[in-house]
Amino acid sequence: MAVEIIFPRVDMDMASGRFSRWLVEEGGAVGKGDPLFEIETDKAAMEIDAPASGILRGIRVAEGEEVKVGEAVGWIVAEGEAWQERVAPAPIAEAPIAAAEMPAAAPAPVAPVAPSAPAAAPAAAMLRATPLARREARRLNIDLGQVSGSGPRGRIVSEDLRAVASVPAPPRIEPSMEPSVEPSIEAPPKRPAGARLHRQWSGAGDGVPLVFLHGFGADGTGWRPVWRGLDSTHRLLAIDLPGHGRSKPQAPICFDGLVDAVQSVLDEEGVRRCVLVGHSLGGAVALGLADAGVVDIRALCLLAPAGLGPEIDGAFLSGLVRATRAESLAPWLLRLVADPALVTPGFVRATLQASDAESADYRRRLIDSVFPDGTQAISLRHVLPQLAMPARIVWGTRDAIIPASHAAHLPGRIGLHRLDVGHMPHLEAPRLVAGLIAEAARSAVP
Amino acid sequence: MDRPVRELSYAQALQEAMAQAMEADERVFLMGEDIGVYGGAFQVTGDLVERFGEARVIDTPIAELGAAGVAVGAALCGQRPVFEFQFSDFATLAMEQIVNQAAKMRYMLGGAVSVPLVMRFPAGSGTGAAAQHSQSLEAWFAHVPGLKVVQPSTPHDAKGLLLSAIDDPDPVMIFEHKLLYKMKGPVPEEAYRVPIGKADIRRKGRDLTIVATAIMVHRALDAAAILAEEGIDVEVIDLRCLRPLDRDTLVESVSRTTRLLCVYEGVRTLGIGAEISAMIAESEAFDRLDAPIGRLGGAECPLPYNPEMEKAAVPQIPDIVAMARRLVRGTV
Repeated sequence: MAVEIIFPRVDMDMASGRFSRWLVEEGGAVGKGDPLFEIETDKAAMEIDAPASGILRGIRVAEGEEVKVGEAVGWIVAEGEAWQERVAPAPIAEAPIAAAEMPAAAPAPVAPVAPSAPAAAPAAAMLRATPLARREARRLNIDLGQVSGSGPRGRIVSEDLRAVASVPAPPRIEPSMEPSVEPSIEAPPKRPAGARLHRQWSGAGDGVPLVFLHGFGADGTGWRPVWRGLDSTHRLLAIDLPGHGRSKPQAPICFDGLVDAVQSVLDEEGVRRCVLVGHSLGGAVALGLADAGVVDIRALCLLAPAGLGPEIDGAFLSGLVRATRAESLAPWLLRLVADPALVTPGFVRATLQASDAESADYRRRLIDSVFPDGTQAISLRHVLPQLAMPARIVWGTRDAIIPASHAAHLPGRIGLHRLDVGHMPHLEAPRLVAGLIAEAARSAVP
Repeated sequence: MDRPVRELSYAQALQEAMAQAMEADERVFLMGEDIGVYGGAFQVTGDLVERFGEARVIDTPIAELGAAGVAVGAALCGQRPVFEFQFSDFATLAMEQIVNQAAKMRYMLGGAVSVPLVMRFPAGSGTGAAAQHSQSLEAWFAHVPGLKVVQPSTPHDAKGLLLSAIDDPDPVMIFEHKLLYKMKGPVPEEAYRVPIGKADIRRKGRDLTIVATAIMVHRALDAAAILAEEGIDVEVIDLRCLRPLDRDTLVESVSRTTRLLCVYEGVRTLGIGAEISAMIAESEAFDRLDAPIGRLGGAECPLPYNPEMEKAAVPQIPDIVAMARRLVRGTV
């Protein structure tokens, strides 16, 4: 086996030295202990002996070069041993180290495991998968029992799910919207999932930023009435969810896809802690973010959030996505609010114009994934008892889209504000809601 | 502002921090064995005795327990002692004063007093100084609430962290790796501070987070350069501070890279890596792990005198390269 020739430390403080000259040529034979090369330190010049017998190969330093202590300057290989110049660096890490590392770092080394091919479909009890692979499988509704793992002893890593994710779509995954979009599985380190989402910053201030997530069919501009009522102690960030407002659709079309997309935007914007405000579907996304726990949410304010019970007005949802004209859209918008005067012709037109065909298609698929058959298929109720930050829920008692009764039986530490409005408290009572959000912001742990 | 920052060695940077602190605050004084005329075993105090006199650069007898007691007492009385151990290993002799007195006073007296003490510990192996002069004991001290423990890896951080330590109202232990003393790097002239408790991302990467301390930061960076040629993109975090630990930076990084390797020189078992691994496993980053967590630490033996064995007993660049490959390529 090839033996590494190390540039030695000949003096206690020495970090590097000058390589003077080789005493043997590339390909020449040396005996262990024979002078092999000369070095110079600031104190002296000296000869260094060969660490093994054999043939000198892979000379890596030139005469006169400054070399760091511990660096390999070449190799000694056995006579007749094949030497490939190109693999020179590999043995640095693999061959000699494996030998050196074991006694040093691990007194009872685990016997090396032969990378056995994954045995016939592992039983669920024997399943080996990394935490990330398990999370992705849950998200994509993939049965890990059907995935063969590429890791040691058949361990499934996230990469292994890619192969499965691109074959016939599992129930909850929609095919990607654009050919350029990657297969619906997320590639964790490289993913630019948030890159295409539109986001709008406003205001200034040193406080923890306030992040706003709108509801289904809406967009970030809907927060303007509330923003007018907030003083300037915090920066405000509104994010348009995929396929809403100025954000393009993006795969995967499912609830976790929304959570991940928002998380990516926050990551890109450097928002590591925030006060989170979410309305309806955005409220559910806010709870999803709290559940994921990556973003440090200092306070939570949810307006008529989805995810707390099965009921939702399915006719409203399908009417909303089907409407192509003001006449067919207005009656559904009226259902959102308690006071019909709020649904002005301008509001109806703006809602219509905000939608292109691609986004409308995305939203249809999103309903099919998140609210199929007029039912909330997502449940985030389990998150409520785990919320460690100050949290409050605002609900209109005249909400016709998601019943206010979903706010019953909240854990005692979550505040509930019942307003005499419909499904749009931030539109129907903007000053009051701004005040409640400001209170939430003040309750945030700085 | 645009002119290049001049370079100082790690030892010179520490010396400059002490000199600036002594100029700015007459309560600051230095204590230690041979730190006066001799200039310190590693020439960190240098000629400070000539600048500040023997009343502020005090040579102590070879009696660590008594001298540490004097330092703790002086701090309790409002002075700002900076105490040098000749080798960190000799802190064993002074443990009573550090662990039972300095760390406890503020708590036991209900916050009525504080102990603004700094202790400097030349630590680590690689100098052929054998078992009693080469240990990395920083994790011991990090296990004691009431102490802060910092471990600068560059001249810049050595100066900035030492100045922060001197400002700090509570005892701060600063571990200085002996192989770093002669390392040079940019050090601004003004008396700047590096905050205690903040890790530093020294290299951004996508495939693996290496969390390293002291000399291991440099080995990890060298390993990262080798791995980059193979297409493995490593993030290197210089922990800089063991207590308090910068949880946020570590969790955020591992959440991104999905893999973690801890590299430290102290004995591997029950060391820094054990704490970081457990912290990550308990955190929201757990769900993002796509490989087992790796640890490289010192061997389970007293450090050998034989230079080859000494080298083999602590992680070296090829060890880091090999372990990183195994974690990223999924063979471990």
